[in-house]
Amino acid sequence: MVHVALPGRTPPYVLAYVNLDDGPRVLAHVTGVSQRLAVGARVSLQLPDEGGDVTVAAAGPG
Amino acid sequence: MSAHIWGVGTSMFGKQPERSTAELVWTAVTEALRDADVGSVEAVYVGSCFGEPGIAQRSLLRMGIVGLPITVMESACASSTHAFHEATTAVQLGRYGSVLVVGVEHLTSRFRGAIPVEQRDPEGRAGLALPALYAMAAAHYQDVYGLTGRQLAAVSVKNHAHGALNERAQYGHPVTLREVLASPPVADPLTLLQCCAISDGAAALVIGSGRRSQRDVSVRASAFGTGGLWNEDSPHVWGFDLVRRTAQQAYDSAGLGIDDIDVLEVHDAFTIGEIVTTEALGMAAVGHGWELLESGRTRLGGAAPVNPSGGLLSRGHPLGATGAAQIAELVWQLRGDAGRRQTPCRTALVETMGGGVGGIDGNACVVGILAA
Repeated sequence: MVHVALPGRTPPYVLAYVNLDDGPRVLAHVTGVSQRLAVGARVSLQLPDEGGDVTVAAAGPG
Repeated sequence: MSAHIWGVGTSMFGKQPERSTAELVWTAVTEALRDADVGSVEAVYVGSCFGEPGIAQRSLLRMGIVGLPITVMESACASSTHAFHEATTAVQLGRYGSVLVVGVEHLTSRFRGAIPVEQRDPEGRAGLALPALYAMAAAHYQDVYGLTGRQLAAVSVKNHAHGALNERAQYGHPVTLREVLASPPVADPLTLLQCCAISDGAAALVIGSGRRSQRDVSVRASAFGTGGLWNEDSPHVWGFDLVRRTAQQAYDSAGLGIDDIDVLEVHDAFTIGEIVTTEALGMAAVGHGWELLESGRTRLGGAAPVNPSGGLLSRGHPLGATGAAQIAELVWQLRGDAGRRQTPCRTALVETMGGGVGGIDGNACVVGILAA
């Protein structure tokens, strides 16, 4: 979770390196969370948001 | 030809907006030339990261250092260690008999806060500031190896204790574990006192051919590499593979190993950086770097002190000046001139890491091995 301000970004926001099941490793914004994800957590890839960011969502229960 | 460090010098480190870039360079270069007892050199290699066009010539001309080959190198935080590597190589190959290495950075005139990210880089555009990249490594260590917040913060406490003994350091005072942990969050789990601050400074080295006296320090090895692709195939955090590979080259070249090293200056731009780097250098197994702090091995008074100068966290991190400043500290240590920071030593290791480009595990890394 990033707390420092960068141009065009409003903190805090959560970033994660995500290893896709078939590769590669991508940097993504994690949506809908208020703290960082645990290493090894599964996520699902979302459509890019209007700003063009690669986003993932934490996989829900089940 | 064998390369030796004949002289070293530095400016003060810290936020110095009232001083020009040139003034910082004059201070460092004057000290280094006097220390080396030479009036001139055959070439100048300059390391700077955010320096403006012409920074080298503009800084050097009023010292009368003109008319000779001047080359500027950029490898992010490792810029002047890169310049040191190339100067060493040039002397070893007989291209020059003496080379002045200058590292300089004037960050207060460039930006405030975290280093700006490059919008044309996908990771920069996503908002991955350098503290966030290192925080990702720290989070990985917490979840995979059980590294605690206190173990992480111990790096800052140790290096600020060292820096309190260094009159040129940006921070001249120790900090407590409680202060480090209670400082504002930057990128989870890194707090402000676990991140190096904006800094201005310069450092200079004279690299020459041959050993003229016992004060000259031998460059036993110098290795320079750039990052490989950092992808799902690497089980290691960012930077680890590059540091390990570069260190191995340096060990092979010197015919030495980590157990032969008595004192180190390594890249602790963020607390996790020192832990990962000491593991990559072979001082501890992966996931066990924190034990070096707990046992006291890497503290002044321990068997192999790491960052006796205070490191980037306390001495300060004017990017382009850092590598030459690290080497200056090791030269003082090897000569027995380090005053209150002195540790018994014969052999020393410097490591600097530059980052900021997405997709690879480091812009550049330099590892050098020096001997008294």
